[in-house]
Amino acid sequence: MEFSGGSHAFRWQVKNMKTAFGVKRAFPGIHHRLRIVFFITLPIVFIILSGCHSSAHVEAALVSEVRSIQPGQAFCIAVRLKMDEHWHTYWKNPGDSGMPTKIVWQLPGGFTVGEVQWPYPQKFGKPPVVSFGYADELFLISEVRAEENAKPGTKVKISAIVEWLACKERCIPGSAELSLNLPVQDSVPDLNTRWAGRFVETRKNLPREFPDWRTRASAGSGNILIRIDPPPWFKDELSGLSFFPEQEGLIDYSEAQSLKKSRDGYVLEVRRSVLSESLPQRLHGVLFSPKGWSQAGQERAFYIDLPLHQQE
Amino acid sequence: MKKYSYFTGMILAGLFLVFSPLAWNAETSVGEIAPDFTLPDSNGKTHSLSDYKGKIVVLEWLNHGCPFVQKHYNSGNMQKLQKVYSGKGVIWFSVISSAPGKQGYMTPEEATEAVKQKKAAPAGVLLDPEGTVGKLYGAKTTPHMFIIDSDGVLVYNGGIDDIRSANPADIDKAKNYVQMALDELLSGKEVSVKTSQPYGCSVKYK
Repeated sequence: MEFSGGSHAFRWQVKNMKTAFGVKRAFPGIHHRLRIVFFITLPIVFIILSGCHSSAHVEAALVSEVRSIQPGQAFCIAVRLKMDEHWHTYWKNPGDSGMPTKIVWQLPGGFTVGEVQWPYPQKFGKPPVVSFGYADELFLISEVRAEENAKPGTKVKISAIVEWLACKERCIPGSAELSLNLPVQDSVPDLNTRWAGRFVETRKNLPREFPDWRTRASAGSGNILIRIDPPPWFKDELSGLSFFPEQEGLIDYSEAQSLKKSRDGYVLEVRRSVLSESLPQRLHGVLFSPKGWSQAGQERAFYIDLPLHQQE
Repeated sequence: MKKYSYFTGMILAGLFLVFSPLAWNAETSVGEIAPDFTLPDSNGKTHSLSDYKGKIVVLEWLNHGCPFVQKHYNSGNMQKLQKVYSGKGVIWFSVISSAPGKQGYMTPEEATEAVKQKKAAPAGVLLDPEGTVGKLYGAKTTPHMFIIDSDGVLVYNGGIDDIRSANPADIDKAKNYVQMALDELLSGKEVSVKTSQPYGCSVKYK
């Protein structure tokens, strides 16, 4: 039991195991006898490699930041994905390959849920195939608002169907039906100490806007330039910047992004993808700086949403 | 001495051939002439793109271990497209760029056997274990589809359809870009959707 009032998070094992054992399908050319040898040895190899772990490399759960909910109030829950070592799942723009994790909510009547809050991603793969996603442990937080007339003393069930693609060298699609029961109480809810710290950690990695940094974007036939002018307090040098576009097929993820000093600040140049025939009106995505964008030097993910001008 | 320079020359020429597409960074845009290449098929026959001038050519990146490829093969969708358009004179090549030891790599015999098993109908399964042609075209995923028109111009670069999933149930709901482009080409029209986001597993380059 993880919550007072008997609520708890259910964990479901990955349902979709079929593809992991699609040996015949994957290697249809193998001679019959060889195939038998394969079928005998493969499970053994599997067991050795996976440490008797029966899931397909991702464990999924629905977790809450609070132990109870208050009528009409907002609270946060998250889909927690725990990936095996060397396996990763994908960001909202998965990059050259992969598939974003998808969450379909089932909420009690009168409850509403906001958009998934995606932390900034990391890069996987190497040119010419570069993807964006997450390794190890991921919390995809969403804000839920409880119904005004939710009755204290009752319990509500929040469910989600989650689908993801997990890849190491090979890829395995997974899905889970997750649910969470939370009691309705009149009082301000207690934090769920089991997970609340992880919610706080995750929020540090959520992209946000930094209005004191001035940004502007323009596009040429082969490139996009993002101008970044630092605020007066910034006395350091920008370095190691990466731009993760939310839009698919706009930039070439394999090409190096070059950061140059300009008169007032910096210009990050990214190559356009051969797939980007026409230009969108706006450019949106995440600027990642290892040094951080705030005065405290911690927040590394800068969300930009800029009109995309044509270069003169 | 002479022997050395001969070998050095050969090695340099080889390196140039292998790396020149990378050095040029010449991923071809739609509307440009598709780069020529020569690859053996799984039956040992050699094909060059330039052999098929005057024909529409489809290049389909393939890895039978990838769930996104399985979506289109276990449902029969890919084979159906191969049959329909081969019947209309289109030259359809499946290309395997998986490196030896990586998922999807097949020996020529395995690739030929897979065609039989899957009842696939490509004009050939081209074997590209070095990944040279994959990188030349900028093939990112399996599947990743390219269409070259009868003038040798790249007219489509993208996904097979518009629903990024590994679920065969989505095939009927999806807009199949390859089918659309081929139908347009065959009726003398311009391809309306020339690029789309390819989706799938990464190509398992070496």
